[in-house]
Amino acid sequence: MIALLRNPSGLIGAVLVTVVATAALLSLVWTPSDPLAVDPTASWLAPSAAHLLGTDALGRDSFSALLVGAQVTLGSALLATTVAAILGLPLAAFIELTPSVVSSFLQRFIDIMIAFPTLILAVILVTSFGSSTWTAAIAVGLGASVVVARTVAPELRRAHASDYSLLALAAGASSGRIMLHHVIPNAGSTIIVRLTQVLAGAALAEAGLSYLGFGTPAPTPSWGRTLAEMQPQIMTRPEVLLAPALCIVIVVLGFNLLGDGLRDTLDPRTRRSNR
Amino acid sequence: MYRCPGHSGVFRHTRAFERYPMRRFPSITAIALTGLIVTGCSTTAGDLDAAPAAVESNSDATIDVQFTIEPTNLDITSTSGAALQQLLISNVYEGLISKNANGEYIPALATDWTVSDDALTYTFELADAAFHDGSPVVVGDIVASLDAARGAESVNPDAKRMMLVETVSAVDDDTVEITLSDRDTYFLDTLAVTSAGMIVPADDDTDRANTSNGTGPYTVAQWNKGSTITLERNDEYRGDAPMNKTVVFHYIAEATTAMNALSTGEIDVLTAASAETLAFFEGDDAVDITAGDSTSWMTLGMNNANPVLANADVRRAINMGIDKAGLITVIGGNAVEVGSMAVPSDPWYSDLTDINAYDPEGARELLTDIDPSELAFTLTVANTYDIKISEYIAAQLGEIGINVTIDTVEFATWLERAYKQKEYDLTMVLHVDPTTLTYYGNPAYYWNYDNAQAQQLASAAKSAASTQDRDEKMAELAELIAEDAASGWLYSPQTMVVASTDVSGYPVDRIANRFPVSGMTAVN
Repeated sequence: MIALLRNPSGLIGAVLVTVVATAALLSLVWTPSDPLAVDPTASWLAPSAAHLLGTDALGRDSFSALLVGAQVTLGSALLATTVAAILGLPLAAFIELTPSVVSSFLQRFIDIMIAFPTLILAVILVTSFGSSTWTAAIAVGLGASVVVARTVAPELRRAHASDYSLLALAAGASSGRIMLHHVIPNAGSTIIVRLTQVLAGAALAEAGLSYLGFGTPAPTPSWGRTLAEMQPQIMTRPEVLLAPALCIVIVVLGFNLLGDGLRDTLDPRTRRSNR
Repeated sequence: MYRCPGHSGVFRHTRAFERYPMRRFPSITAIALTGLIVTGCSTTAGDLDAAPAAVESNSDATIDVQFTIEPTNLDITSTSGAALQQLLISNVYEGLISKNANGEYIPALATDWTVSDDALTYTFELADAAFHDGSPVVVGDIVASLDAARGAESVNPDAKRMMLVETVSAVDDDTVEITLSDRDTYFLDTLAVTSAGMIVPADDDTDRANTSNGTGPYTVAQWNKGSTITLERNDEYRGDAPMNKTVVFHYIAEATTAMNALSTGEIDVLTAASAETLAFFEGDDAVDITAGDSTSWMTLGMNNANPVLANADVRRAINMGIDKAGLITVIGGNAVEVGSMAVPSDPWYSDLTDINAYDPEGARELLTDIDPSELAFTLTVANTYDIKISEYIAAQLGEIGINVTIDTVEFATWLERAYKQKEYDLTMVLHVDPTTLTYYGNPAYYWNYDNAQAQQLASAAKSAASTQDRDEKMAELAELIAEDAASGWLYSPQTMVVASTDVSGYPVDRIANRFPVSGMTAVN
């Protein structure tokens, strides 16, 4: 942990993610005003003490909406990543444990899945089941799971072929036991780094889907949808697009830098090369 | 153009205000019946909807006009859609009669006409006219066109407006007689400005889907699919020559792109400008901004088949819970508040905005006896409308204890689910047919609004002995549905046209389904 914070990427990433997480947690208990309360007399107010970032066309407080939007972004990023981990890690282990005939078949299957764009998968699911933050997040998680499997499997193979695994095998340990006790713990750092990157991708995907109208349904505030709603103002009030756009940048950059920092700190090979 | 089998469409996706920006592609859209019913029967020839020309205008000018929705097919006799009507009616195709900017009927393919005292027999004297291919317009063409437009088998999008036509016959080589089974106060309008009234050759092999052979002042010269349609002056036109040579219809759906195109001079006229576009051009001396009358209503449809919404008090409460003036503010203005399905330019209009006016306290009182758990509705709305309108409605109804869930769907899904299957609680759509008011007399319409008194008034209006009588019935109907809160009428958008000061004479009023271009002039 200390090592992570000593790493500049890790430090900045941790700070940005903490800011977003704090905003999300804070909005659960408090927002400056009700983010859904409309007031036509307060349409497009400039930033002030009462409205830190001003108001939108409906007179809703933009700052409150951004705070609540953090919940949606983080929640869907975490859900997508959980789905990716639950499906992707066993898939990687399965590939590693099965005979090469089966695993090469699985590898090709994963190739096909990776070739199928995640966003299109999400759009199909949302069109079939109705748009919701969770449908979109699960779709993104499904798409990410095959990428996780693909990138984690070689790491498992490396650990599986290592001397300690062979030693365990020689000592008569079962392949499942070797996987659980020797391989996965030794591939843990790679897994964590990959999942952090999935978080960044999922946050961006949520924003993208919501921007296109396939993500979080109105009126729940979501940064991507807020950006879409503000877009027609680009010639007349360009400043109103800044806040939601910056929020998306912060969360994606935060997760990416955190992932980089974690990789630098956890992965012994990069650690060695850094010296 | 979206064709909805079995139904004449009556809505149009709006881009009058900023679109919900999720659509990158110009969606299928814009279906509308045409026509505004206006009294009078003039025989004065004249330019269609033309404003006085600028003195130094160039009669060989090319004028570029922006529209949002491109037609998918040019066959006026079988394809519905406001976009197609805007392009072709009065420009490429003509009916027996037409209508000028003041709403007066003027001669077109007929030089003169008479209506019998019982208003059941119409007689038309034909003009000496020719189709674009040079062949003369003969009485057989008129009879064949009007016969094809009516009847149960007709594929004409406005066929249902011809339902009362009993016979169309040639009296002699220059005279056509049409008899009706019952009075129809909208019949001249049907002939003048709807797809059903347009005349095409009885016997030719023109591929009408891709080209045209009409009688109007312009021919379709070129169609660059996905981009522009060019109308070229018909130099053989029998009437007053168009005041320009070429008019190019540019199909640009994205408001920002259209804005830039006008700034750079790529286009000269921008129709249906958004609030942001207007804000951008405000104070710009190079353009004129004109507000035109429109006959359209952003309508909050309520499904009367829903037992809770069948209760008039609930519908009244919904109307009283929405601050319509506030809604007009948040969409950026350029709309008028209406209290029923009539606009100030309708002869039967009266100000009904005080009926069920904004009063959240009163609305809550109306709802006190209703189980709060029943006050939960889904608002099914097409994604082409600005989402903030739905959010506004949901938030305001939330204030009076009505829980609204917004369900945003594709327009095609909306047509299927809400309009045809009538599976919705609340919905929102822009109605553009000037006679939409009479639909409250049709219990099978998607509102499921079954009110015997409304039905009686609507049918009395259609078969009224005089326009005055009809207008009285329509006024009564408008008031009846307002009192009964049959729907919510959120606002009536004004048409905002932004045009370069180099051009003039462009139509601005009621241009949703007719845009006559022959009077447009440009200085260079």
